[in-house]
Amino acid sequence: MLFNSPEFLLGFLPATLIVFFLVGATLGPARAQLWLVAASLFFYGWWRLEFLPLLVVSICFNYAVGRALSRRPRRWLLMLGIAGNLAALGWFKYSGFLAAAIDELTGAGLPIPQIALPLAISFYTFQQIAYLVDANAGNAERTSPARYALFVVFFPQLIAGPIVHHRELIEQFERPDVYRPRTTTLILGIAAFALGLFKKVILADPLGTQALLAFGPSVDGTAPGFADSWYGAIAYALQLYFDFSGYSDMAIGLGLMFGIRLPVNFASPYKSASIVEFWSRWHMTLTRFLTAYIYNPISIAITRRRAAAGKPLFRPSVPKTAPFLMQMALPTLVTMGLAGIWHGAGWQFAIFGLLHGAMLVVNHGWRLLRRALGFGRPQGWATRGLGVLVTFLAVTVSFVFFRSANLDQALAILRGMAGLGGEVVKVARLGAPEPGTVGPLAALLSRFASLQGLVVVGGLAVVWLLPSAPQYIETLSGTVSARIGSLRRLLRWPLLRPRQWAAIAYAGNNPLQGAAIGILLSLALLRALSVAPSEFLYFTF
Amino acid sequence: MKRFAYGMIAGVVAFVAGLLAGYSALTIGWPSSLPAPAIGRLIHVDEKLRFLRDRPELDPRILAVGSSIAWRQLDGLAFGAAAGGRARFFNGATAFLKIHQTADLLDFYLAHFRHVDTVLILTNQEDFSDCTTLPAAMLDHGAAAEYAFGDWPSVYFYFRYFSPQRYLRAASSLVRRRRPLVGDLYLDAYGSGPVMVPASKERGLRYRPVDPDPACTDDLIALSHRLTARKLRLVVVFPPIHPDYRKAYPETVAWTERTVARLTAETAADKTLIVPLYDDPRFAAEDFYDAYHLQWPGAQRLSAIVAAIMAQPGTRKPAADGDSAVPIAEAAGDQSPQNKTSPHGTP
Repeated sequence: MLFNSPEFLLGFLPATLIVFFLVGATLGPARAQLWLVAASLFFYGWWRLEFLPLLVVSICFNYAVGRALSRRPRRWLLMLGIAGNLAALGWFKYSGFLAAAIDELTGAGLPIPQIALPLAISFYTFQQIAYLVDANAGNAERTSPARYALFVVFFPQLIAGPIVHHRELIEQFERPDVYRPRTTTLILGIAAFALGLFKKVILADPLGTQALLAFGPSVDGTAPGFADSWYGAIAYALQLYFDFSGYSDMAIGLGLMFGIRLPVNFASPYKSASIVEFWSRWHMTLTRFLTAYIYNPISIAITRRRAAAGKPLFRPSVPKTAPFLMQMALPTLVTMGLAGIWHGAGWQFAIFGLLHGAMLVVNHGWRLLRRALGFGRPQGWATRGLGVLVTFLAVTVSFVFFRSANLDQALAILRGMAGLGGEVVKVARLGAPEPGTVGPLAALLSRFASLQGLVVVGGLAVVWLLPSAPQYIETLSGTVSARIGSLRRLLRWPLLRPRQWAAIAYAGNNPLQGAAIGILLSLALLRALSVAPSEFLYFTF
Repeated sequence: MKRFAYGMIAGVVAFVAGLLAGYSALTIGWPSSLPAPAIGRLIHVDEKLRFLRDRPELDPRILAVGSSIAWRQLDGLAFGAAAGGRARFFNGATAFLKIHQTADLLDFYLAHFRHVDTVLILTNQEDFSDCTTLPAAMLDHGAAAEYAFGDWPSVYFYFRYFSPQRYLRAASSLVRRRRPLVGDLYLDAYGSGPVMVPASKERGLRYRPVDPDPACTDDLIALSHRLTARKLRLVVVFPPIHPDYRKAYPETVAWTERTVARLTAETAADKTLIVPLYDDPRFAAEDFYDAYHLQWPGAQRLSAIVAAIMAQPGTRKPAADGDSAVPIAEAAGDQSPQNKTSPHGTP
């Protein structure tokens, strides 16, 4: 069930919400938790019922192992628990990819298993491995089976995150006030959901159509023209952001409706002036997990080994090449490589991760070098603007790998972006310009200036000029004055100064802002409930 | 927070009121800028549905379907008289359709038009690609029928098929695109889309050879069998191709020859007529505005030729059961590719 589907919006959500508070008020929190678990399992099973047992078995297995580890930490049991999780993930997600890769290398003619990927397996596996690690380290409280199950299956975050830490969710479900409806969180939840739904159906979906200008013709390895490649790649970078962050906003909004605060997942990532900053704003809960459970353990292990061998250790104040490479670059590349593979089974995902790893290493190295040479932190709008632009373009290039069906398609689009592609043959349409009659840059500009290009230009304006949805929701919750300092830091890039933004966006929860959200919600709902079919692309272009 | 919540409710009400006001303003003040509801996967299909909704009297005997090859090149006048009047011929073709999509749209028409006895398709190689990769359905038949032939008010369909980007894009150019003989969405009284492209907008040959999908030919043969089983006559015309294109791409001509031969052989037992006019010498380069499309005067001449072929005594005989309004089918012993029709459709 998708958040923007009619069955969710008109059936599942209102029914679950009403029954949750009714049960909470009449039968108590424990029964309300059971109701929410049952509703979440129904939500999951709606897609494909046959994967529901896998989710239930995974929860039971991890709860049992976690409980045993919290009672008495044992390394072998932890390893067994992690291996069990990875075995399931590996079989469902990576066995086909691995068999194909081995077959290609050896030419052995291996049978390639065609296994359907259970929805959300990457997310719930990751969350539960973290739980086991924390349980073994004595950092996980023992909890009831219902609350544990709720931590894993709570439907707002089950399918695509935010990746929650067991503590931040289980603790909230222990609070009795969660089971009483509160007007403030309900309204905030609806507002956050409205913004997320708007991003998904009004911005992301049309942008996906625009992205096909690059990703459509290149599916057979044909390089699109320069203008189509860049335009399509930028449209996709925006689509991915609006889609993913819109989903996260909806999840946060749904959580709020149930009185639960889910962690913020995106904080205007395209305002980042460096790739390091980008990863502190993009899919923040993933970054948090990668750092805590992959990067830090690897880095610490290497540091210990080097210290035991008497080798020099990395110190930011006195950077040296070998310690930097071993203690920072290597863990970064390994972590990001794994992050790439976590996103999907395919070489293009591995390259996506490694590319980001390499960019992070270069970024960290550059910072150290700058400091070593005595240069201060770059100041000024122009420098920051240049940083934002370069970072955005670098990320856009990397997302070509993320979106492509395979490596051949990604390389074809990159050839197009380098100006080495041909012009795409247009299908006849009266009044359409002939391909190849203008230069590549003029063609690119004409794409942005067209009626269809408005959604891309509008998308760029939104990501660069407006605060992120969670920031806006924070302002509504009445905690603005306490947080305005941190918000200012996050809002460095907009053309307007933070104070001006504060006047416009943080004017408080007045009725005009409510009306604006109401309009966005209506527009998004009407579009989400619409049954208009998608247009054929050869008409659109 | 309450003030904010009241604001939200007011916003929802204002939005719905604004939409209704905008719809009313367009309907009353600028009806020519109001696009059809976005029911189909192409604006051209939507416009066709609007055409049907506006003409409840339509009850065709001859039904033309296909891509722009049929849509732009059939003059209803040439067929209307033979069919029994303006309401008895309908050009249901629309842009971009592949053969399997044409078959799907035809099913939609036939479910409503009960008195059709002849289905006319004008086609060429461009329509014979991607039949295994592109979806066949261009619309939801039930929903389209609700709009085209039902009684629900139009506004219901605009809300149900709410697609603001599509509507804005369409509305911004609709007046121009519906202009007679100039706009690509213009529909004449028969549903055809006649076009005259001025010299300043010449597009050259425009098309390149496609990679034909054999499944398309299979689909057309299957359609022929299906229509015969329903006692309907199918006429498939391969209309003239620009002489320069035939010279530049002889492989397209060779493919057309092979396809005509295969279709003729495999539909020999059907009530189907294959009319190869792709190299008809009566059509010169100046008759075309691209490789496959004739300017309107050329299309009118072509229509007269096709109508005459369809009316030829040699291509017709009384149906065995005698229940068809226009008895059809070739002489049983005249099924060779060469003899199935006159070589260039000469009446």
